[in-house]
Amino acid sequence: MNPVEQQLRTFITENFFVEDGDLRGEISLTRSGIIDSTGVMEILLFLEERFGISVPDDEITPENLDTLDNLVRYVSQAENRVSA
Amino acid sequence: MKAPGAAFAEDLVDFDRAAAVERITSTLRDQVTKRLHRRGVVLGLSGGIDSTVCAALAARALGPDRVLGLLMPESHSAEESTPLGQLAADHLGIPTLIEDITPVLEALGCYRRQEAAIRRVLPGYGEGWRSKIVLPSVVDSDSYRLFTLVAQSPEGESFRVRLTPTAYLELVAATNFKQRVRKMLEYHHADRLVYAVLGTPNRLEYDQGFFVKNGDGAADLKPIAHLYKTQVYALAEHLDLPRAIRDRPPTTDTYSLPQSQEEFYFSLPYGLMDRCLWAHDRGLTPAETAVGTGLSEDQVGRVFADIEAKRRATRYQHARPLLVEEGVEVDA
Repeated sequence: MNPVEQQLRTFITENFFVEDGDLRGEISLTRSGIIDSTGVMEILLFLEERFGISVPDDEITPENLDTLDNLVRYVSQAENRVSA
Repeated sequence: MKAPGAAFAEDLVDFDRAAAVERITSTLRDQVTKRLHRRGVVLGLSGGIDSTVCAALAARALGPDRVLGLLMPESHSAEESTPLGQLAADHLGIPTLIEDITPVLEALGCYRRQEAAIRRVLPGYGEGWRSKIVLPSVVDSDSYRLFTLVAQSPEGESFRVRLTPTAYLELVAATNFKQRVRKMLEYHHADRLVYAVLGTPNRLEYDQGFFVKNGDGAADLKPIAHLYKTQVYALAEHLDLPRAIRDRPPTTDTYSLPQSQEEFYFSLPYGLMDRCLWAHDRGLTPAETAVGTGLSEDQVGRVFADIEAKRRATRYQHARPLLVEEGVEVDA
């Protein structure tokens, strides 16, 4: 597991009371009831504080944020943009 | 937009209004006197359509002298709210009391806590500023809909700032004092008069959790919770309620800047939101609903997803206190 995924997984399991084994990479965090809109806000804040990623409004979408896999991909892409 | 299908959701407007009134009033009379064993009802009159229709139905069911209307303005209330609430009461012949809740809210620190929450994202916010929180439209994009703070300085300069979770939660928690203080006063008068407290949510609000738990969500009976907002307006017309109230745009009347229910919660005009919820309740597909609403299939899909998301997120609002042992609940 890469370090980004590990940090995201730890944040989600600890903050939203989901068992680590239940947090599959492709599961929808909103439709499964793990997070609601306040949870999305908390994830945005976590991305900013932990990874220094400020997510613009038009990128606050399910395809970037709704699953652990999507989050890992989004953070990796954002970090690549910063380092490029 | 396409022209909405003529037959779609016709029972939202084309229903037997007299029968609906009779059904509600006879149920209400039975619930208050035989099930709850109360002598009348108390309700808050906001000058809006829902509370006015509820007051009219209660006055028909119990007699106007057994309905107490409470007018409960506070310093952020719109100027017209109290006069419109009084207009409703005068029209129906029901007694009223004015309870200005501003001093209670000040004592609780409601306004101070609101300002402190806002200063987390807008440090200059303070005396003389006004604000509200708004959501983007549900139909325009797939983006998550997150609250934005809209503020106006005393000089008239406008600001839009994304809320952090802490600022959002603190602001909402402070603002919820308003609904909870009003409910406390409703129960005070209910206790003193041996009345029941009548809650005024319509179906849209009830279904989508648009209420404060133990605030406006608390009541002994909710006589219009099965009616779509469109139907509430239809009953208001049928009951010949004052035009000034029927013509007033739905508002939350909760934040210091004027805030529509649309921008605070539903994201669509109520008529369209009603049609989407009606279609969703009947299991219509987004394609079928698109024909009936003039929205695109994609847009309907987003509205349906939002309806389901709100139901999930607000289950807690509806939940009764949980007990460890089943069978202990007392049936009222």
